[in-house]
Amino acid sequence: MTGLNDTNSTELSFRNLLNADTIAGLIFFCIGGFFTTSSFTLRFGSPMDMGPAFFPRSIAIIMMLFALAIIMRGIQQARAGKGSRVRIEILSILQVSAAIIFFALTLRWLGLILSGMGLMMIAGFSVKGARWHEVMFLAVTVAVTSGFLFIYGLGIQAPLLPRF
Amino acid sequence: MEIINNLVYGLGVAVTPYNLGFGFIGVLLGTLVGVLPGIGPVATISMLLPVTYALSPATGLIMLAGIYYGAQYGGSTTAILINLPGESSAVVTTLDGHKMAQQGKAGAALVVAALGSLFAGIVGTLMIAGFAPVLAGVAFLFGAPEYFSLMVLGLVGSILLARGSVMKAIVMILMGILFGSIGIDVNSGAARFSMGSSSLIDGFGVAVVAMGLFGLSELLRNLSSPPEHNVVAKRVTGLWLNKQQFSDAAPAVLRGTAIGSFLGLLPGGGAVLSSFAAYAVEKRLSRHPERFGEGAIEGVASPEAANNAAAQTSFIPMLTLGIPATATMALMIGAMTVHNIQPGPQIISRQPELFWGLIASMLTGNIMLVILNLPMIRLWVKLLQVPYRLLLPVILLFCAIGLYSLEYTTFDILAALGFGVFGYVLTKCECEPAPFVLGFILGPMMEENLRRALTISQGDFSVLFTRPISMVLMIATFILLLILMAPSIRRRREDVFTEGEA
Repeated sequence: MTGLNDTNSTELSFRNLLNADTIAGLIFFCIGGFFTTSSFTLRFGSPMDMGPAFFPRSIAIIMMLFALAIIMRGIQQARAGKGSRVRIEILSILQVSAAIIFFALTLRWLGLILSGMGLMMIAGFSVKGARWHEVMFLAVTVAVTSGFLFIYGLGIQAPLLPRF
Repeated sequence: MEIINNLVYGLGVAVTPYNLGFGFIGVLLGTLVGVLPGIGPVATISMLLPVTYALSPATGLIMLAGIYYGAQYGGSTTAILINLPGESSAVVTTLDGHKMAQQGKAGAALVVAALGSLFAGIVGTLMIAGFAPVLAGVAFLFGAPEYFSLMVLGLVGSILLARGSVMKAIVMILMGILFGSIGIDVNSGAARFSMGSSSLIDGFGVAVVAMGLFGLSELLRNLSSPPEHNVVAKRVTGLWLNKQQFSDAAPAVLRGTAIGSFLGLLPGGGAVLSSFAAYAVEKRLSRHPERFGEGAIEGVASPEAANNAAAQTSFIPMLTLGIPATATMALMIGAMTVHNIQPGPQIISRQPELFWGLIASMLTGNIMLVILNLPMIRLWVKLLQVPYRLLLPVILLFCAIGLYSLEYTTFDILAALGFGVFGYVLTKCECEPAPFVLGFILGPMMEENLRRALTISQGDFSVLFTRPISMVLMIATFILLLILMAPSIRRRREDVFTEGEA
């Protein structure tokens, strides 16, 4: 059955090759490889006396084998024109990351209210259909209320206001 | 009867104003969170874990449990009214529930969901009360090999829940296990995979992984395509069932309850699987299967009962064996360990007021939910009309604060972001996060049990297959794998999951 996501052409171009399976398989293979190589510094041991590397390395190797199988299946799908296209919205990733990284970096320095406002403004303006006054109003009210709610109400240890 | 005595004792604990109050807060929050898209019980429970440190263990668990099954109720409300399941266990409810709403029968759908869930919740609670002590007795026969085999069974079972290919789900599990092994190896004291970072010396916390992989990754998805809200019924009237509807729905509720109670017990089972299974069974058994998808009331009654029953019975493996069936249960274990309570067979004898108090609170909680949901429908409808673009920043802020509150380190916030992006990319590649989290939680436990089993057997792997209980569990795992590979089941899994996307 052909769906909206199928690549629909059988040429082995780079674009078609990057379907859901091959990308996932590559990610899996790399992660498995990372864990396998990182485990070389640890002792492997034997079944009777499992070292710290025994379990993770075994799992990582099995994972790499499966990853290869998935990559091969992906290539097979690309040849048959049946791979699923992968659409990643990089912009969304950047926007959410900016909001969160801002918060994480400024929390201890600017206090919860200001860093919270920053997060909400970045996030607020990132959504489709954002309106200036709504975003600002919400940012101020929610950040201030959360500040008091979490720090005084729930006792979370964080500075409320900037330290000058 | 023993059960009645125990329940009365538990009610004595649960019905104190303090515990009732926190139980109420729990179910209220749960419903709220179930109604709102983009935030679920896992994220909320993670955020409130620090609060439970200040409460007594019983009260904390009562509140957290309330959030969990409250979210099931909330998710059904949105599934019926706006075709947007607040929880994945409510996906099936959208099929017929929303159709009923479009036919002007929203009230009936909501009532059947609420009452069906109440019935199932009560039955589920009674099951825990009756079954758990028995299981705890059996649990004493469980040694390291048995625990290992049980966890393998649970992990393979979770593949049933995942859409997409079996191979990818298996890899997600393996990857979860690997990430779970980051940190200090208890046995040797060696720091594994921490790459010299002091923040990673202890590995990642469950809440960080769960909130990142489920919460933040969904937020990322929603940012590019905000969920559409078209509330079908601005004024919901007719909050009752007529005779025909009642007689149609009642047997469905009974069947759903049975399915949910059973499936909730299995590690890797749970509310989602139960609701899908119940729907499939109803459709199969119906004399007019073509009515399903067009507003058949059984299509709402059975899955709703099933998911609530499963939500209750999924506490059993956690409380009696100490094995979490889902990420939520793992967080509950976290809440208990903070108070130095180890879930396991001894919990019934050592902390009876905690165990029976928690169970009794489920009874009171379910009743509170019906009282909350039916009259307050109008309030929830109003809430749903808030545009998502206003909700998203608020949810994001609460997540960030919640993450910080776990260990007061900004590293956790950034780590969760990393998992969020990771989860987002993987979901776009058609991989499911749930098996990863389960592998993450069970991995370290599996390693420890395997190590013990092999030490005792002097390195002989066959111990897993020669001890009776372990052998049974391994055979069950094998059968499950075969079932999963069988082409007819593969097709049916695709069917069930693609239907759910409607």
